[in-house]
Amino acid sequence: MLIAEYFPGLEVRRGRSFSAGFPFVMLCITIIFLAGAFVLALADYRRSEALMQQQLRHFAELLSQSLESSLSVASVKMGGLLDDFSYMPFEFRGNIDGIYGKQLRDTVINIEQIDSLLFIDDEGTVIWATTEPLVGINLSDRSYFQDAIGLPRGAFTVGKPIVSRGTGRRLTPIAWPITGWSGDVRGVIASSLGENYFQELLSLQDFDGDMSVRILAADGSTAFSAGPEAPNSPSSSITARRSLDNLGLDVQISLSRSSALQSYWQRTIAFAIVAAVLFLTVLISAVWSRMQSVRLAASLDRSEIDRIKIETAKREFDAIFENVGDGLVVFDDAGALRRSNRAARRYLGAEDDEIAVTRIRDLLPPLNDMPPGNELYKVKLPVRSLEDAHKTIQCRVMKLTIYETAIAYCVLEDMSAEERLAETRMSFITSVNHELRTPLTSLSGALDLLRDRFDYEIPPGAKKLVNMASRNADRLLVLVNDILTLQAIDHQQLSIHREPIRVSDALSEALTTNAGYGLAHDVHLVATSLPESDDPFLFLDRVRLQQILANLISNAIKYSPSGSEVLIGAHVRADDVRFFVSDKGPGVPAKAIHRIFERFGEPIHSRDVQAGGTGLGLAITRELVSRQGGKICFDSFAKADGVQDSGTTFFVTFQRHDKMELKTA
Amino acid sequence: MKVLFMDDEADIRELIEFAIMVEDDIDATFVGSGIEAIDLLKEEHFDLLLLDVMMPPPDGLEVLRVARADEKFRASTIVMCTARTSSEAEEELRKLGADHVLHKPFKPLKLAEFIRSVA
Repeated sequence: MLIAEYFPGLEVRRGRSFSAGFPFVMLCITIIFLAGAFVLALADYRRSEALMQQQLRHFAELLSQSLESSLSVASVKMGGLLDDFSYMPFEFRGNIDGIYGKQLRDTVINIEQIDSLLFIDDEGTVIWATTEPLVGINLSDRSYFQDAIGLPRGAFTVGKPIVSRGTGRRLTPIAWPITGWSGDVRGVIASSLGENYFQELLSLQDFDGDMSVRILAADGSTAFSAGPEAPNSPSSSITARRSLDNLGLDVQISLSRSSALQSYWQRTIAFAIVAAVLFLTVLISAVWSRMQSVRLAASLDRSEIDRIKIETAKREFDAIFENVGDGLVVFDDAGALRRSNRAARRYLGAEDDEIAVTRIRDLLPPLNDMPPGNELYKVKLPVRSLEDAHKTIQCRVMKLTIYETAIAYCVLEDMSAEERLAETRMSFITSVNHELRTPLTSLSGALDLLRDRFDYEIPPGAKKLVNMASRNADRLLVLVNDILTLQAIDHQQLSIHREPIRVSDALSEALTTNAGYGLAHDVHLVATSLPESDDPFLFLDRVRLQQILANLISNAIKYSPSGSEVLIGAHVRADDVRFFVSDKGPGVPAKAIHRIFERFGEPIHSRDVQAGGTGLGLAITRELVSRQGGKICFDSFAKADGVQDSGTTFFVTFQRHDKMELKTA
Repeated sequence: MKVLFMDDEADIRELIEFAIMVEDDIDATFVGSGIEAIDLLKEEHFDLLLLDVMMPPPDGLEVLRVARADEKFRASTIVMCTARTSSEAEEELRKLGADHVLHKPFKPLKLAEFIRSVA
């Protein structure tokens, strides 16, 4: 990644690597939760089952107690009747109904447990019955009769349930022996416990309808059953038993597991739903906060990277700000922002930002008075060190308003540095030139004299060499003089002696002076003559004017094709005079037009066209023209730009002397 | 016409001497130092003095002052030779009594002509 490449030391933490265990932890928590919930549910199940068992046992106990007590009460109530029968002589068998009928019927009415009665003699024959058809039937084979006949006085026996032929309902027989005072058994009083009797007992107990209640006789047959059919398999139901051994009855209460544990299931499901909802909520919030924290960590990483980037950028900026060559001071109106760099502090002689800002503010107009935007102030700094002694500091101030606060950005530039450099360079050139000029003058003069005085004595071959030496010495001398002239111009030291000059005189002098040079190049120099009536004066330095014209003419000659003409002349106009020098040379290529007046500029022409020279001629010419208040320009058609009929015309324009006087007057 | 030419460069003096030698109407004397010049000025009279400004002291200006102070050179023409082309420097020389200022370098062959034109 780019960042890692840029900041190799930076370790970017990855969210993925440290969150790998998270789903595992979540899975474990889920498993623990489910296991815990299961264990809890199981324990609750066991407890609920035990509770239910206990409850059923309790019901069975209740039911059997009430059964026992009810039967005991009935037995006690039966005691009176049995006592009567004990005294009763059995001779009156034939008129039982007449003697005991009322008593027997009252017993059935008064004792609620008894709804029917059979009066059986000791041989098993029914001698009286609430149900008339039973009279006369022998019941000696019935077990309850046989059991009861052997019982002591006051005891009773409960027999096996039988199904009534008339009603189809179950009847459980109950029988008491009738014993005489002497212990003789006289017979048996038998009754039956109907299903309504058990039902009534049961209804007193507030039983749950879901429970299945059975009362079994000693042989296992059912005396009574209520509620839903009890399931046989013990796994699907809960059962409680209570045996009434003295009665030979067995109370059995059972409840199907599903209904017994219905509340358990309801509770468990409700609990499971609530727990699941809670757990899911917790789980989701955990996952969500996990995601948030991963995101947060990522953004922390990002902001860490950003911070490092910002810090790096700040350090880079600080390094540049602090070490840039120009002095920089930034301050605002409120005094909250005060910043300066090393160069500024050096220029201002300040140890810290605060002093630097105070000093620069003393040197500048008040911030409020500064116009917005860029403004240049020349600042005079007190001399603080020898090396700064002759420095000119320029202060460029840019005023910006940010959030209603004016902020000044000051750039302190050492203007003298460049000036000094240029000066050093120039003085070096000047001193070199001075040193060159003296020997060059001697050389050139000596060669001139040699040619002049000993022309006939010099052999023709040597003369050629002498000429070459002379020509080059002159060329060097011109260069040296050009440089010195330019330096004089730059230092405003060029002497200009103005005098009235007639235009025609200036032209003819230029023609005479330069014709020889033209001849040497096989170029004919032609001056267009002026009409005598219109030959005004100019107020210029004669020598400098000739220098200007000579420069232009020599350039024109140098570039003219051999055999061609260079035309010089002047246009006299209303206010000024325009000299012109026109040639048929290669012209100035368009791309070089802007730098034709540069000093030591790149060659204007291609190598084959470029003529030799100092590279200063036109620069000097322009300076000489402008120093005398004139203007120089040119028209050119260059071969290099594809023009066939090429050539250049230079124009130099000066104010007319007569018009000038008029104006000044 | 008696001419005094002062320049500390021997080559220049020699060249000028060579150039002016053939001019019959010019009788030139050459000196290489201010001391020589001042000594000579006491004894002889010259119509024209060509004095180089930049020399070891006493320089051209000193000689100029001496000459101008001397009654017998009142009518003489004094030309100061200098490489400095500034108008201020020229003005200064004229104030000190120079009649002409000759810019160096000059062509030895043209000097005779110049001398005749200013004399």
